[in-house]
Parts: sequence; C-alpha cells; structure tokens
Amino acid sequence: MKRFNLTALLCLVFLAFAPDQAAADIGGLTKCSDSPAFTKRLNTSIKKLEQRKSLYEVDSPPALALDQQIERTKARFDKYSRSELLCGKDGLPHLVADGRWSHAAEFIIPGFGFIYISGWIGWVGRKYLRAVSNTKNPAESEIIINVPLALKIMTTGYTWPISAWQELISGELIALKDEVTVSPR
Amino acid sequence: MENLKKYLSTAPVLLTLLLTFTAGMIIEINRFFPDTLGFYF
Repeated sequence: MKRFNLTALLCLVFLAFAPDQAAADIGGLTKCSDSPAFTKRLNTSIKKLEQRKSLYEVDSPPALALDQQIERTKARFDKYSRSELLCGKDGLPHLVADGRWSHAAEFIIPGFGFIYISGWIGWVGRKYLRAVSNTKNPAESEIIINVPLALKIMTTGYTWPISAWQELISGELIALKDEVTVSPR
Repeated sequence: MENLKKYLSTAPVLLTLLLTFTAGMIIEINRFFPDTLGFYF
C-alpha cells in the first residue's frame, strides 16, 4: 500500500511538472496553409500529373482525364489550406482527435454523428422487435418484415436519446434482475 | 400482387435494397463532397 502511494505521488509530480509546450502547437503540427511541406507536396503532385499529361496528345481522352485530375488535386489542396487542418512534417493533414474544441470538426462532431446514427439504428431495431413481439406471429414478422410498421418506427426514431432516457427513468429499458435467467450455480 | 409484396418484404430482399441505397448514398456524397477530412466546407 505504501509503495502504491509513493508511485501515485511520483506520477502526480511528473504530471505537475510535465512540459506543457504541447499547447503551443499541437504535436509539432502547423497549419496546412503555412506548411512548406504541404505546398511542396501540391507542386510535386501537379508536376507529376503534368508530366504524365505531356505523354499524350493534346485534347485526347487521357489528357482530358488528367486535366480533370489536376483540377481535383488543386481543389483538394485549396480546401485543406482554407480549413483549420494541421499538417505534419510530411506535408499531409493530420486529424486532431484529443477532444479539443478548436478541432471538433475533425473528430468530435463526426464521432457524435456516428454514435447518433448507430444508436438510431439500434433503437429502432429494438423498438420493432418489441412491437412485433405482441403480435400473433412474432417470428414470422422477423423474417417477413411488416414494412409500414418498420418505416413508421424508423422515421420516428430520430429522438432516440430522449426516448432512451425516458425509458431508463421509467425502468422499461432494462429488465428486472429476477427476470434475467442465470445458469445454476 | 400480394405474393410479390410479401416477397419484397422478406428480410434478405429488404437488406439488399437498404444496403444498395446506403452504398449509393455514400458514393454520391463522396462525388459531390470529395476528400472530406472533417466538417469543413
């Protein structure tokens, strides 16, 4: 126990005196628009494509396709340089996923979107199964879907965080302990 | 007609329709908003 306390104390000391220069620039990353490696990468990408283009006749289909690819490449680099994205020494954008709000658009918002949509799917699936479990033939309704009912449940499922919270409060979300079967022990 | 409706309502058929729609939607989103690395527009 005593040793544990010493370890914890040591950890606290290290935490307290940890260099916090990471706050200045995030993990040695720079804004893409200010990053020389990013600009260099743009130029080499374009140059390579133009070299490939020069192998073909002007206005031939491959040359036109490469023209389009050059346009798309320019648009991509332009978009990244106008955004808040940070680039590493490799000149590529790196996503900041440590939860800071200034970079919420890179991880927090898409992450919440993922959880929201997967929760929606799970919630309406559960609701459908519970709805058909009261009908005459529940097993058949799991194979031959009752489409009008399923669509109604799917389109009203967007409020699932509220519904789930309400069911948790009312005790409907989770089964009682004595309703859960356990193997004999 | 009734039988066709029943066939179209079976789980594998509906799953195929749903996944086709989802795949198409993702392809189209990537066509109109390519190279998205976050919610920057």
